[in-house]
Formats: sequence, structure tokens, C-alpha cells
Amino acid sequence: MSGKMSLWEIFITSAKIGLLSYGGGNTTIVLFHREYVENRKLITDEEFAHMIGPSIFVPGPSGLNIAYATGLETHGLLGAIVSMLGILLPSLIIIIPLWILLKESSKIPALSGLRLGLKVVGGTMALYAAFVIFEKILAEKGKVKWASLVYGSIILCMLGLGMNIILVVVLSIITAPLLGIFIDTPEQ
Amino acid sequence: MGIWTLIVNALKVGYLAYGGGGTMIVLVHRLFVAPGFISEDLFSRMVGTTFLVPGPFGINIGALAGYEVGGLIGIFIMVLGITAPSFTLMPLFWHIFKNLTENRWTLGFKKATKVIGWALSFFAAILILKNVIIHIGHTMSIVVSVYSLIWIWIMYKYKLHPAWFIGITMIVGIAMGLVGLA
Repeated sequence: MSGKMSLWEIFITSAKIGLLSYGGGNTTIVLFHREYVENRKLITDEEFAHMIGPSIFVPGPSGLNIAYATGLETHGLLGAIVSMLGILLPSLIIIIPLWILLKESSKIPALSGLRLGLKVVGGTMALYAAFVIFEKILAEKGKVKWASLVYGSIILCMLGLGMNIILVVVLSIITAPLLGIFIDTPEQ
Repeated sequence: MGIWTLIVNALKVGYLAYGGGGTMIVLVHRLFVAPGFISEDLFSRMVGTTFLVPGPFGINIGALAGYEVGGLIGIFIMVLGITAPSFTLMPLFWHIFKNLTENRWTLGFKKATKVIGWALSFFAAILILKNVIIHIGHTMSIVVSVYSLIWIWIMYKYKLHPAWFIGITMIVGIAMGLVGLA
């Protein structure tokens, strides 16, 4: 498939997707599917499906992993690097100056409300994210739902009791596949 | 923070990042805020700023943490650490999953990462909100809590885009500062 898309096109496509991605990796994956599978037809639906699996299992933002995979598929390793840079650079170019600006301007007494505003945004959005995921868990069927709730509560308890967070995250990842015990015959 | 510690932290954040933004917040908090390299106050504002821009949340919060402890080199190391799993594990996992059909364990893992995301987002929210509330008096902390919960309800109930909440909150914050309330 190499050569159908120049490196510059890969970069621009990723940059566009990066700037349109708001609200997590799933949006990014949908946008990559639209560009590479639906619009340009460079990757088949089946090939794309094969990319989603590993991009969920590989740690890190899944949007970045899918950028890597689509870039690799269309232009080799160089394509993968360019595709990832396309996702990374625009948001970095926006966030770093914005952060410096917000940090400095909140030192001005009249703009001290910026500090509070940003903190409320941070806390509320994290809580909102938790709420949105919680709703998805509640939508699970039967045993999986209850097992998920118990599993999540155990993680929360470990964190609440002040256990080492790195250890809690590692334990959660190692035990994660065990949730499969409660899934009914997915093989069929 | 020494450069070696920063590299190790960047790799920890990268390789343990399962479950999305919430996990990233908690990991950055544990590795940068808890040891005292970044203050709680600054960190809460960093998280808020991250929600203002598009792109992968993990990269944005990681880059800000890197910037605070090591300037441009800090950003570079953090971005490299967070993208490292894509380069090192994607080829391997791709190979494994090419010949693997979905089974109960892979499905279980996928569902579990969602649960990890839920638990860690919730914990992240508590970390930040606790810091917001202890620095403003009793009355204000009640006002802020009610304000947050009302917005969450509105965003959920009316499917309102979070940009509305973020924009209005920033304006309200600045206005409160101007009249001397914040």
C-alpha cells in the first residue's frame, strides 16, 4: 500500500484528526476509520479491525496507537512516526503556550479567578468522565455488570486505603483478563 | 527532578497507561505531585488546562508535567516515554492479535480497562476536588460542589458538549476574581 499517500498527506491527515479529537481515544479511532477506510480506501475494514485490537491492548493513548498503525500500514515506519507527530504536534503547540499564558496571567490579582476556574474544570471534568464510564458499565448485562462493579470497587478501596498507586495499577492490569470469567460464551 | 528520574517516570506513565485520562492524572499525580516536584495547586490547574485543548489527553497532561519539571527537554522526555509503548509493543501485539480471534479473556481485558478508567477517573476527581475545596472557605466549597454537580447533571441530561461548561466556568471564575470573590 506504500506510496499511495505522501508523508506530508499522512501528517496533515493526522493533524486534522488530532485537532478534531476531543473526548478521548474513541473519537480518534472513529476519525482515523473515516479518513483511511471510508474516504481514501487505503485500508480495508478488516485490516482496520486488526489494528483496533492491539491499540487497545498496548498502553498509552489508544489514539496514538492507531495513528502508529495506520501510518505503518500506508508508509512503513517513517509513516508511523509522521502519523504520530501529526497527532502530537498540534496539541503540544496549542497547550504549552496556553499553559504558560494561563499560569502567568493567574498571578495578576484581578485574574486570580482563573486559578479557581481551571481547578473546577479539572475536577468536574474528571468526575464527569467517571460518570460517563460508570453509565457504560451499568449498561453491561448480568454477571459482567456486577463483576465490573465489584472489580472497580476493589480498585477504589485499594486506592482509598492509600496503597501504592503504581502497585494498584499493575495489579489491576494483571488481573484484568479475569473479568472474562463472567462473560457468556463469546467464542460463538 | 534529575533527568534519570524523569526518564523513568516518563516510561512508568507510558507503560502503565491503561484506562484513559483518569489513569494518566493519577499516575502523574503519584510520580510528580506526591514527591513534591509539582504543587497540588499547580497540578489541579494543569488538569483543567488539559481539558481546554483537543488531542490525546495523556500526551497533554504528560507534556505539561514535563514542562514544569524540565522545560522543553522535560516535554521531549515525557512525550517520548508516553509514545514508547506504541513503538515497542505495537509491532509485537499486532503480530499476536493478527491470528487471534476475540475470546473471553481479550473481551474481559477490554471491559476491565473500562472499569480501571472508571475507578481511576473517580479517584482523580477526588484528588483534584479535595484540593479545590480545602483552599476556599466553607460556603464557597459548598457553592463549588453544587456548581460542579449541576453541570455534570446538565451535560449528562441534555447531552451538552463539555465546551459549554468549560467556557462558562472560565468566564465565571474570572468574573468572581474581578469582584473579589475568588
